Amino acid sequence: MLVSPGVYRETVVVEKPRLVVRGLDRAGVIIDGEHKRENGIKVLADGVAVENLTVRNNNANGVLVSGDDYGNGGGQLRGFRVAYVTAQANDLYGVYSYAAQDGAFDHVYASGSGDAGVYVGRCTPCNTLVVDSLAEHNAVGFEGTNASGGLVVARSVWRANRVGITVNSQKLERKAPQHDAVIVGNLVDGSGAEASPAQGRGAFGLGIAIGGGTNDLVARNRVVGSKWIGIVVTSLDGFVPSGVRLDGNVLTGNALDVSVYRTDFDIPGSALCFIGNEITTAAPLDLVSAHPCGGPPGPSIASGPPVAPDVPRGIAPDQLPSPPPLDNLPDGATRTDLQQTGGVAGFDVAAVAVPEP
Amino acid sequence: MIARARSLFGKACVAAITAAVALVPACRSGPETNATPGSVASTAVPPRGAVLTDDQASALSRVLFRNFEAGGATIDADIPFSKAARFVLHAEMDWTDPKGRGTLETIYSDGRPPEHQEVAWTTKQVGISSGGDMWQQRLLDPRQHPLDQILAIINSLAAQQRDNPVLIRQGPARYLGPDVVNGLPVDKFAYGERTIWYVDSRGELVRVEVSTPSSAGAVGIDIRAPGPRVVHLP
Repeated sequence: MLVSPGVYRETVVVEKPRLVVRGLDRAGVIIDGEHKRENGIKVLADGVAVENLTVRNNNANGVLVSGDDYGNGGGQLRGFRVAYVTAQANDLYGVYSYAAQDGAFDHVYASGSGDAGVYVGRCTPCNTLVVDSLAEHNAVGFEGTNASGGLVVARSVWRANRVGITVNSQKLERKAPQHDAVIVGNLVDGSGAEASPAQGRGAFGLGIAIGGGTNDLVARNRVVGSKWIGIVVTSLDGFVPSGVRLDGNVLTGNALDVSVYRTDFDIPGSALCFIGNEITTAAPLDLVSAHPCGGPPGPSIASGPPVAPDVPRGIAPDQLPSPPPLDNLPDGATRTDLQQTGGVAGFDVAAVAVPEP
Repeated sequence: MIARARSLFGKACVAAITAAVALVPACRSGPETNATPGSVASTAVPPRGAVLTDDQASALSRVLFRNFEAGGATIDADIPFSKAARFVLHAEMDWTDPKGRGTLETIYSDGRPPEHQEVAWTTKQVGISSGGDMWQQRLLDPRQHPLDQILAIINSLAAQQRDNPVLIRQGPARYLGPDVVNGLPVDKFAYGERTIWYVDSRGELVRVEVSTPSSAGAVGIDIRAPGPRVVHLP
């Protein structure tokens, strides 16, 4: 379905499987919630693609892809793709998949989200790829809660958010604990930006945060300019991290490059290991040397969090900068090679390098 | 402040009240009065009710944010913390920088005359005065003091961000049907096993009932006249 340029003041609900909703101009096809409606586009069917358009000013989400089991025993939605989509000033999430698998978010731009710009929640397996995207001036750039198995967040830029990337386990969402996510080749820049929406009592100034994750790989990311901590691993909501591997990341200009600290539980020595990272500052001081990958587990960690910066109140989304020029879907008006699912099978994680500054 | 795990990495504060209640263990220490210590935990569980519609979940997701936007309210709480006595709290609450102040009446079931105190609190501290300018100040500790459990819940009745309606629908919230509070029609929702919300047609939270482990019955918290409040602490 090709959509002509215009401002559409409505919610689009897609209940037909294998439909492609494609705008003819990314910046010119606008689904505007006018701060009256919950969602811009709500996808409830398998194999749906949303491409090349803008969703803005929704009270909840720009695009919501939802497998709707609501605890009633239903399965996950299978197959989705959200590509070349701009999500601006949505009060919760810019683009959001929930209880959905075999998906992709690619070439997404998200700003002004009251929570995460890109959010993958409650999926096992996720088999979902987040790639080549840009999220700025959100409360959180990317968040994956209870998102396990085949979640890859790669080759994207997360800048000027309050928190850049977080992957975590939480009880209030099903499918905890979270496990087996890959965060690779991202540029995480300036986490802790004042020019971001107010975020309740949320964290501030974290580049990449793993909260109660298991067997997550954080590799070859460049994390710069975080106001508090570049990469942090900790327990969350009663879930203790385990087997988190920090491999080949480059950290510069952060108030503190890496830290591990207890919140509700001590962090066991097996929670994480380091190999081949460029790190200058750490808390505890011997964190990196005491927890090498391939060696015996280091000591458990019982110290509390480092001193945090003051948290600014945040600003209204309509005061945020306009999006930069963004690419349209190539040949969007004519191409017929429909891509209605995602997944990580064809994505070569090993080929992803540390991004340039 | 109330422990909200979700807020650590920037998540909407789903079920803040539920979290506040969950924080409270069965209290075996004596309260601030001569009432019977070691109150029996209530086992009241709301009926299951109906799964929420999208519109209901959306409305519930805004309730705490509406309180924050309103700024404050008048709070009347009836706290039956034991068979021997109950607290009646009448206070003004400022949710923009959470703090409250009001009167606390302790009513005994054995016929003794009630005691009147003044109470003021923030998210971290509680002050109690039996008269004059003498205040006893201590840390707010819901794990130790039944009164603090309720103050913590009152503090948590506002949020700087709306909740996620998807997670509210996924969660234990259920619609229990229409009801009447203070003569006005409301919708009644179970919000977790021990919390009931009463929401009016404007989407405003007008009453909360909570069964805490240390209360002898459901604690009723009425929220009136939402709007800005200026609360001066002692």
